Formats: sequence, C-alpha cells, structure tokens
Amino acid sequence: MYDFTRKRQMFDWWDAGFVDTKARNLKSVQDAWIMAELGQSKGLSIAEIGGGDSRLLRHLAPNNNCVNIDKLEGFGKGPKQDPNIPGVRTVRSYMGEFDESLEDGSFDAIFSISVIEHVPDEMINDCFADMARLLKPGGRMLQAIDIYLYDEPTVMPRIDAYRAAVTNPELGLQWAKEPVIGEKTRFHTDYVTNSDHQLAYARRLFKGIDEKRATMQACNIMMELIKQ
Amino acid sequence: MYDFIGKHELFEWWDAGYIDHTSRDLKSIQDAWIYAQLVEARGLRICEVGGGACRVLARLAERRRWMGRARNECWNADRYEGDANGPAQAPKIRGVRHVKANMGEFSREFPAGHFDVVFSISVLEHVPIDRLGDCFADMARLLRPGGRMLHAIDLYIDDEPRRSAQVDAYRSAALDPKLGLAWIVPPAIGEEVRFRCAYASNSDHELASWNASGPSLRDRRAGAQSCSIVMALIKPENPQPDESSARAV
Repeated sequence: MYDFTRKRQMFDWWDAGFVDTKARNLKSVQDAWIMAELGQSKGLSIAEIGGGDSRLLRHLAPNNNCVNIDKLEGFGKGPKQDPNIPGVRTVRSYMGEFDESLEDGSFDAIFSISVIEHVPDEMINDCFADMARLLKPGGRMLQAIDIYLYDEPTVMPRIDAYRAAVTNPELGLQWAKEPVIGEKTRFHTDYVTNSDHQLAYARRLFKGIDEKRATMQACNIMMELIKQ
Repeated sequence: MYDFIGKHELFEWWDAGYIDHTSRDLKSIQDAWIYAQLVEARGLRICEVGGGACRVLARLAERRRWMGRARNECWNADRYEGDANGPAQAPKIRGVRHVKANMGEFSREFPAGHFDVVFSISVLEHVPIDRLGDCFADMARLLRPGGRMLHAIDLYIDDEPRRSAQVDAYRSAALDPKLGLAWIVPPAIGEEVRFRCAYASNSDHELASWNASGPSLRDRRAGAQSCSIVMALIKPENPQPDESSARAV
C-alpha cells in the first residue's frame, strides 16, 4: 500500500472510536490508521520508530512486546526524557545506525507516525534498510508520513525517494497492496488534511515553511509493506 | 469582493488575535473575516442576519465610546427557530436588539436605509435558492447609501472546475439592478469554481463531528472541501444633482 488517507476512511475510524474527537491535527488521524491496523494485536513484537510519549504503544503494550526506538532528543516538541510507558522498552537509537542491540528479524510489526518526513534525504535508504532488517519474515512495516501537496500534478522527490528505498530488492519488502500513488501527485478534495487551525498554530513550532502551509495542503501518506 | 477565504489571511488574523486559538471550525475563520472588516467600526449602525449566538456582533456591541465616537448600534435579525443547529432563543447581549424576522419578509420593524453595515456568517447557504432574490432585496433595503453588505457563505467545492448553482445565485441576487449594489472590489470568483490548496477550509475533525447529526451529507463531506465564500458589496451614494452648488454655499 502506497496511498493517501481519505476522509471516508477517517470518518469510519471516527465512528469506530479510533480518532481522538477532541483533536484537530493530522497526527490523530495517522494514529487512528495504525490503531485500525494494529490495535487488536496480541502477543506480537512491535516497534515504533520515534514514538516519543506514544499513545499507540500505551494501548498496545498490555498485550504485546513493545519497543520504542527513539533518541528522545526533544525534536518537534517531543519528550527529552523517557516517558516510561509501562511495558515499553526504550532504545535510544536512529533507524539507519544499524544498532547491534536491535536484533535482525526480531519484530512482527514496525511502524512510525509523522516521523519519516523528518529523515534527511541522504538517510532515507539506510533508514528503511534498517527497519527492513529488524522485521521477521511476514512482518509488517506501516509508515504514516506527512507531505504537502499542490493543486497541480507534480513530481514529488520525497515520494519517489520513499518508493525507491522500499523497493530496493536487497530489503526483501513487498507492497501489502498495489501502490496507488504514481509518478505525479496532486491534492484531491477527498484527502484527509491537517486542519488550518493546526497549521496556524504550528508556525511557532517549526518556522520557515509558512508559505508552504499557506499554499499547499498537508496530507498523509500510508505505506505498508511485508517482509518476505 | 467575491472570493474565497485563503490560508494567508487566516494566518494574519490568527496573529492579530481575531481567531479563537482553541477552535477548529470554518465559522471561527469566517468570524475573523467579518471582524477584520469591522475592526475600526465605531458609531456605526450594524445589522447581523441570522446571528444566532451573535459572536461577532457581541464584540462590536461592547465597544465603548472612543475618541469622541459613539457605540455601535447593533441589531440582529433572527427568528431563533433553532435552524441549522442554531439557538432556539435569543441570547441576552447588552447593546444588541433582536428582531424576530427573516430577511425577505421586509419586516416593518427594520427602518429602511438605516444601516451602515448588514452582515451574515454561515447563514446564506441555508436560504433556499428561490428565496435569495427577496433576501438580498430586503438586506439592500436596510442599507443607507454608502452602506456595506458583508457575507461569509459556506460552500463545498471539488477538485474539478465546475459551475455552482449557489455561486451563480448569490451573484445574480446581489447584482439585481433594482437593488443598486456594487462590488467593493472586483470579484475574483468567475464562472467556475474548484478547490485550491491556498483556500482556508473546515477541519476534517469538525466535518466528522457533524456526521452524527447530519448523516445525509456524509458523502459530500468526504468528497469535497468545505470552504467560505466572502462577498462584499456597497450601496453607492446617490449622486445629488445639486451637490456641487450646495457645497459652494
């Protein structure tokens, strides 16, 4: 799967109770997608990348073996201290460092929410290679990735870079469903977006992209692959 | 002016403090547009149409005397029948006079040619298209020469450019020559409309929260973006034939 989240899906997740109804941000919708996919899991080894004080891990930890792989450097207003979520082991590491304390083929599922878009271009390949390394055969990789889209169909280098990274044959990953995102992308009015109020608020948090926020729509890519 | 509200403007109003920072709905953005148009208003006669809780009108009514200029005189035309999730009772707001009438009824309680400003927020989209002519005629009747009409109107718009019956109807109702109204700035909305990424829109969370009370529009909400038209017209001053001689005296 390589697709954008649609409002139709979000409405279904809302009805199912997966969306924080008090929220107004894209992250709450991304959370809901992962909740819909993994929320019922039992007895799995699950790693979140850059989870911070993760709502998802809190939910998953009672029934699964959960690891939060996060340097906890306070990036993006994230926590600097271990949130000490009961039942969650924290590994202070970046994906792409191939940390030996994390064993090859040790996870049934690896996911991230609003993290991959912060990975520098030159680190994308290593980042995905490291995550693929950690998955068991049959393990699932789920990535919720923020992206700003234009009115007109446009080649988006980041979208190409993510696709190129995960389809590298050495990683042994396969799309869980045929990708929908093609060579060019544009915003469509049925896509889920971050709210304008959240964007207005976020200008204080991440400076320097106000023009992007004002003229583009902030959407969510859903990416799912299976380790062979 | 006949245009859509943009995110650039929204960010400016956010910084100016016109927007409730805890909100997530289009109404709060529409409120900010009206407020930005009237931020200097002192001593004006203002009529809101379908004000409901009268969020903006209340702020305009509470302004004290300032620099020798009087308070605003604030009226609200609202039947308070609980339409569109609005209140079923008039809120008591100091300085706001409620008249239980709809625009288009030509109620005698409103003095014609009395108002400097007639405005509405998220109301005109609820007026049936065949009643828009009377609605605009009534609002135009209330304005004094030189008075302004300001409307923020909800509209669902899609990916592809298309004609919108609503967009056409608001335009033709407002520009009926009998009303004598003129655009304050030339209209930006043309024959067809489509969503643009620079437009401000209602949050998906707000739309999702409406599905429970209004399930029939669920598919529309899922497929389109909920945006705001803004419309600003003026009733031009009637040129007096003897104006120049009167001034000379």
